[in-house]
Amino acid sequence: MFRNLIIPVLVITAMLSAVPASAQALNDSLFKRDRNVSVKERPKPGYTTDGLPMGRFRVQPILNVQTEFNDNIFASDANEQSDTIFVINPIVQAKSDFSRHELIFGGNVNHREFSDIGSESYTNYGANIDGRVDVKRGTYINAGTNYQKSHEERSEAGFANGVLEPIEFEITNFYAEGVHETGRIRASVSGGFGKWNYEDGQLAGGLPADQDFRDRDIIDAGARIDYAISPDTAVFARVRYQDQQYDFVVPGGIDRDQNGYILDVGADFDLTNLVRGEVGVGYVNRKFDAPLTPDFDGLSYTAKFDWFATPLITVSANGARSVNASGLVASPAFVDTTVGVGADYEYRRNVIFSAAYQHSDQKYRGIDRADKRNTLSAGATYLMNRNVGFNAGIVRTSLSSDGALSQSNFGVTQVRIGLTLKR
Amino acid sequence: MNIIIKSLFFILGCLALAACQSTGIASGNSVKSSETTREATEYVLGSGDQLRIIVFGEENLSGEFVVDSSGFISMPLIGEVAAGQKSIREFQRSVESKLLDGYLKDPRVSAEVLNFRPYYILGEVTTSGEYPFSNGLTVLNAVATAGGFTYRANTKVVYIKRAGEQNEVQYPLTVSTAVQPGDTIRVAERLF
Repeated sequence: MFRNLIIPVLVITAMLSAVPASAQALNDSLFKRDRNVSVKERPKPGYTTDGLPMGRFRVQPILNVQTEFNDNIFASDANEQSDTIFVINPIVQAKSDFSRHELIFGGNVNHREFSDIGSESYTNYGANIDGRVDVKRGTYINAGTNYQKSHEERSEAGFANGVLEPIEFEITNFYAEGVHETGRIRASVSGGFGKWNYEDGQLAGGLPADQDFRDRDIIDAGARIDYAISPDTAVFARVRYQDQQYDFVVPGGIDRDQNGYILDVGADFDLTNLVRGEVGVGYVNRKFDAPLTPDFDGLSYTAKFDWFATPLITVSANGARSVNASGLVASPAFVDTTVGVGADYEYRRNVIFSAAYQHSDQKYRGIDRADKRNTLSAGATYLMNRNVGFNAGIVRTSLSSDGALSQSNFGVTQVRIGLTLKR
Repeated sequence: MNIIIKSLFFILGCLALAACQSTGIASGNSVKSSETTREATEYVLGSGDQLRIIVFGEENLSGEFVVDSSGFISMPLIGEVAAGQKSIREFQRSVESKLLDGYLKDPRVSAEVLNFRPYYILGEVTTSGEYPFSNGLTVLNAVATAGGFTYRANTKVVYIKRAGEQNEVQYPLTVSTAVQPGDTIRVAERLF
């Protein structure tokens, strides 16, 4: 089967190689942000693998095996049931080693086997193809497609109550982005199309739980222009547009079709050996087709900072305000305000400790519901050698939901220990 | 639940312990700590040093000699002369006294080191290895010769084992911390 895949790969490779020469991204780019390296980004020469050579590609197979304890697998406040979950997660990636252009093929499978409550077990899988065509010096096009079959976590906001098994859904995405950089100016345009398709579930007594009302198409488009005011700081202006069209309106429900845009300006920087980040502030607008759902407009912001306290400690902070689809019948979207902090500590070259906290305020449009989600996590990674690594961690997720149409509150604690094998 | 959380901390502890064992750098009971800085002192000869010795007016007694592994130099006429653990001046005087003992009336001896024995540097430097010593060498010079510190280097202290000694000693790392020929310098990892 893999051999069948290689032949079209070589054909595409030959096509890409036919593009007139003149090299990829600029080596002397004013938009590089590589002065500082965070703990997790830092290359670890003794603990990484080069993959297996296969023609003009390097193939890297990875196998993650994990045991997880979950104290509340149904994410419920009234029916807390714990279980132990065995996870097996093979991943393979084939990356080209062309001098120009790039082509990446990937595939993954993620099976979660619940030891006591077998009906919760499921298998996710997916594949992706990503490529970069280097048109000329400083000008390139990224494009790709991916497909992912997944199962919805019971802690998700839109999860269907009462279904016997997790809801299965699939996402298909296509995207393309063109980038041109010359001197102090960098401009990019991007577009994407995504299709979300939910499978029906089953209720107690054999009744079907129709989930087709959540099927939707999403179109994204964006443009951004950056101006480098120095080699380590650039200012930018950006516009992002999104249109969501649901396949149909649930009888008695509301039309959840919507579109909107975010217009913002900001800066990205990599200053001294202490701070790197990107900040954007602007205006967000979202229009809903449902006449009774009020449109939303207001302040939009995104912020992301890495503080390199020492070469061995990276402290990160992020914040964002955005409008996201809800997946609920009665509400098309919610306004999400998220802040988070985290820290990574490189105790040894091969031992990294991490901790993170994230808080989200989610206010739903058109219904009386406001959620507060908190996630606190801590973990450690130990790389034994190039091929073997271990990890362990704990994650505490909690939801506090208020309002007439609130979801039940819950708290879930997951403790995991895992092994990673790679070539 | 408490048992699980305790188990997790136990696992994290084991990972940390495993990491300590995996670093491969000797530490612990062979290390002594010194609060005093290590300043440059008068050079002491040792095995491996190559010397040029001139006895004025006596070409047959002059030449280039190497300190052997026992710390002696073998010279014409007077035979073996102890050089190890002596300064250049002390060595010159001992050659003169041997020549005075029935061979020459008023010997004038001068000696200089042609090639110092090397020093060794390892640990958190870019290119560890053996490097030739030069007069007035400091630890910072030695680190620069070895390609500089790595990002994990402890730049506050340095561990030095002198030639012929069993233990390495911890010194504060300053701009004047001196290196002697034959030293083994270890730059340790930082913790934070």
